[in-house]
Amino acid sequence: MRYLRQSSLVNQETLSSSRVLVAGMGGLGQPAAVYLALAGVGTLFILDDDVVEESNLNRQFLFTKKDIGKKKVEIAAERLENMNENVNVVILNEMPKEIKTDVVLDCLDNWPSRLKLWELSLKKNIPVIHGAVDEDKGQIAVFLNLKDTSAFYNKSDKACQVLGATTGIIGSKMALEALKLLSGKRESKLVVYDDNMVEYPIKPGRPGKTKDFASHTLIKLWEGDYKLKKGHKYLFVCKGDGSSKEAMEKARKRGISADSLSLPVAKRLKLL
Amino acid sequence: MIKVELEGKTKEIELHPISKGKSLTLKDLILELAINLEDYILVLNGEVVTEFESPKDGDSLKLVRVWSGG
Repeated sequence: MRYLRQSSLVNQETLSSSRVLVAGMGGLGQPAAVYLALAGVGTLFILDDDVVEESNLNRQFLFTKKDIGKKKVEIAAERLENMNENVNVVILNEMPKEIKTDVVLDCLDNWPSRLKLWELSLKKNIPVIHGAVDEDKGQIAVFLNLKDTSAFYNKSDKACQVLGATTGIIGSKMALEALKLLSGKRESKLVVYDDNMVEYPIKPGRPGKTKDFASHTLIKLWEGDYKLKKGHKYLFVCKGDGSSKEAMEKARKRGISADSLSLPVAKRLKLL
Repeated sequence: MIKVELEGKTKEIELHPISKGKSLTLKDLILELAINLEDYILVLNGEVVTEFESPKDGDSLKLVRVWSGG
């Protein structure tokens, strides 16, 4: 009876055996986790290393003033299990070394942690649903592989103001996208919320993230795009003007193990 | 010409190669417009793309502000 009103929308058997990680138990993570728990996800992993602060209470509705100073994941787990006793809630206090779930929800609040989570998940082909907010606006992105994330690198963190209603909208939409993925609807996209919700498909980007190093280009490749020597993670694009040898030596001294490739070849292989 | 939409305002910009044999990328275009790429996602003709795409005449580019709060 509990799932009667969603019986034609999801495969309840699949849902009850699914495993979902919600990374971040703040303004986005709470509505996402609540709706996934209510929908009957089998195992919900919740990740956060923070304690409840008074400034969380304008948007993090699982907490009350009595919870201030307590661990977020412990309070959240108790409340989520009370909402649906069929859901197994697993607490994670830190980013795991390995992720083994069907979907990952990125409800974090900073880019470095997000990028780490995306790489951990997408390298294992676990889809990621990313969400972020500012004031009364926000975005959701669904990534199915690392190349989908290429347009989202090198973004900056800014201190932001945020309304609970906004995190509620974005977190709920993230839960909805997770339920779609668990039902087999796989589609990478960006959804922008700015009074209206607008969806854009994502064109998979170049094969890796790049950075400038000693006036050369250093590419950290996604796996499988170019066969690097064992233990090497980077590809060094040589200009062929004689300066490359020195730059490579600098990289080696910094502990960057890189293969090298000439600029025309890198272009021909569409690595640049 | 490429149509660029930013913060609700649209303008048309002439495309030109930045040097002989090298075509202009969206990154070059954004630099030319003095816009901080860290704050935006690029949507070219309705599709999310990286800054390394090369635009062509008649394209439409939308800069969508990217948020970071959680």
